[in-house]
Amino acid sequence: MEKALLIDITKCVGCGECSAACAAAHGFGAPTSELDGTNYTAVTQVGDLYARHLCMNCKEPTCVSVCLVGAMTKHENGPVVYDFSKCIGCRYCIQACPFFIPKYEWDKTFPAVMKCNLCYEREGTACTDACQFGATVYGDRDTLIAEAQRRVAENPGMYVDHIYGLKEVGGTSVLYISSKPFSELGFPTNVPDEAMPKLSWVVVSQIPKFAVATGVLLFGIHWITARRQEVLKAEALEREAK
Amino acid sequence: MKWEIPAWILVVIGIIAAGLRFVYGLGATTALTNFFPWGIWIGFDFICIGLAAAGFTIAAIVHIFKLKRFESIVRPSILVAFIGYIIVVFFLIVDLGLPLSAWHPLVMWNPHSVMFEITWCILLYSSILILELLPVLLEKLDLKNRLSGLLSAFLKFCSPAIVVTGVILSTLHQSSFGSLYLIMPSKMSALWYSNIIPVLFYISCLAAGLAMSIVTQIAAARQMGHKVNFKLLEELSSYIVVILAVYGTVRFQDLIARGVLMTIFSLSFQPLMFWAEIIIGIVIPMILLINTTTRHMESGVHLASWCVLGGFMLNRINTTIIAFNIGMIYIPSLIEIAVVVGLVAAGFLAYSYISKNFNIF
Repeated sequence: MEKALLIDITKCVGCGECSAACAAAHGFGAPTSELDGTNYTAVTQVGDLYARHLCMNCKEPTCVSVCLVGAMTKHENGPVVYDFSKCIGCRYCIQACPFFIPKYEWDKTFPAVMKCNLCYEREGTACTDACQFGATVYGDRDTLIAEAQRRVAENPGMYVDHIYGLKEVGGTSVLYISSKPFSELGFPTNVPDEAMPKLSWVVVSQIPKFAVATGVLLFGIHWITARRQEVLKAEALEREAK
Repeated sequence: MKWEIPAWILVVIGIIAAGLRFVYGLGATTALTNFFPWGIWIGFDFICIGLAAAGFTIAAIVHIFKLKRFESIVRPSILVAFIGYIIVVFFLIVDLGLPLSAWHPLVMWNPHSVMFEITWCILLYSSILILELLPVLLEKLDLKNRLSGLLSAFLKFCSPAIVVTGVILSTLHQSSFGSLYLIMPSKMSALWYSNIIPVLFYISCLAAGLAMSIVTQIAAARQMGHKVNFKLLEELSSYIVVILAVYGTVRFQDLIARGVLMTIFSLSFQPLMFWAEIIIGIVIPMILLINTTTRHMESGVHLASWCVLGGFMLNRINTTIIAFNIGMIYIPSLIEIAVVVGLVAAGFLAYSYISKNFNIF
C-alpha cells in the first residue's frame, strides 16, 4: 500500500514542531527556515499562511531516474531513499529535481545528499506525530486523496481547487491543499503532469538500436569506400599490363 | 619556448587550488550551492568533450570516408581528443563530491540514467583513443621485437573496427551531454531547453571538432616553424560552413516549432547571451567562410575557426549555467577559475610536449 502525507496549509499555525521533531529524529541541530544539509523540512511564512516544504517523494522520481549508480531508490510504500554507500557525489539529483529538494553537505570532506525519506525505517513520520493541529496527516495515499477531495469539495470558499502532488510529475507521496494558489506559496507550478523520467527515457531507450544502426551504416560506408579503392588499384594495374 | 613558463605557473596555481578544494571541501572553495550544484567545472567538461570531437570527425573522414588527403591531420586531432578526455577526468576528480567512489558506475548500474551512459561511453572511448594512439607509442619505442610487431599488425588489422566503434561511442555521448538536460524542462530557459537538444549538441560538436583541428594545425605549424597545408584547412572549413548552416537551421526551426522564437527579441540577459552565441558561433564564421576573399585567406579561416569555437563554448556555458532560471546568480570562485585555467594550461603543455617528442605531425 502506498503511504503518503497530506499537508493542509490552512491548518498550519507555524509552530515549527514538525521541523524540530524531524531534526531530533535525524540527529540534526536546531532547524532553520530553509531546507539544507541539516534540515529535511522547513516551514516558511507567506502572508498569514505557513507552507511546509519537504521532499515530495514522487511516484516516479527524477532523482531515482538520473542517479547513475542507483543511490536513490523508490520504496513500494512511498519513500524515496538515498544510499550514501553508493553515491559518487555527481549531484545530478540536486541539479535535476524539479522541486529543488535534495541538498548537499557542502562543508563536509565526504559529503552526502540530504533529503526527507518519509522516515522509511518506522511506521508514520516524526513530523506527523509532532503536529498537534492535524496540518500533516500520514496514511494510505488513496485515502488521503479522498480526504483532500472531500475537504476541498465541502469548503469551496476555503480551499483552492488544486491538490498539489496529485498530478504534478505523475503524482507524489506528499500532497498539499491550500487556501492560496500554490504559485504564491513558493511551490513550483510549471512542472509537467507527466512523470519526468520519460523525458530522457524516450532517448536513452533507443541507444542500443541507434548504436547498431550507426555501426551498420559506418561499416557499410567503409566497405564501399575500401572497395572503390581496390577497384581503382586493380584498374591501374590492368592499364599497366596493357 | 616563451609561453611555457607562464603555462607552468598557471598549472602550479591550479594544483594548489585543487589542493585547497580537497582540504577545505567544495562548500568553502567553490561558489557551488544547492541551487547551482553544477558550475564551470561541469561547463568545461562539456567544452573539452565537444572540442575533442576533432578526434572522431577526422578519423571518420580519413578511415571511413577514405579522404586520404587528410591523413596528416589524423594523429594531431586524435591527440587533441585524448588530451581533452584526460582533462575531463581531472575535472571530474575535483568536481565529484566523493572522487574515491568514482569506480562505482562500473559495478552499480542504472541504465535509465543519461549520466550512466555518458560515463560508460567516455570510459570506452578513452580506451579507443589509447588504441588509436598506441601505434605512435610503438613507433617511438621502436622495440623491434616480435611482440610489438604483432601488436602493430593487429592494431592495423583492427583499425576500421576501432574507428567505427570510436565514432559510434562519440556520437552517443556527444549527443547525450545534451540529453542530460532533457529531464529539466521546468528549470531551464526555453532558449536552450529543447526536446531535440541531443541533436543540437551533436551537430554543434561536429563544427567545433573541425574548427579545433584547424586551430591546432595552424598553432602547431607556427610553433614548429613549418608551413601549414592550407588547402586541407580550406577544405575542412568548407565542411564547417555546411554543418553551421544545418545547425543554424535546426536551431531556429526548433525555436519556431516550440513557439518561443519571439523571446529572443526581448531585452534581457538570456536573449543577449543567445545572440552572442549565434552571432559569434554561426553568423560571423559563415560570413568569413562564404566571402570569396576571406575564405581563401589563412587568417580568414583561422578567425572563423576561433569564432566557431567561441560560439560553441558560449553555447555550452549558456546551456549549463545561464539557461537556469533559479532566481539566483552563480559566479565561479577564484579557486574554480584557477583549476580551469591550470588544467587548460596543462593541456597545452601536454600537447606541445607530445607533438615535439612523438611522431604526431
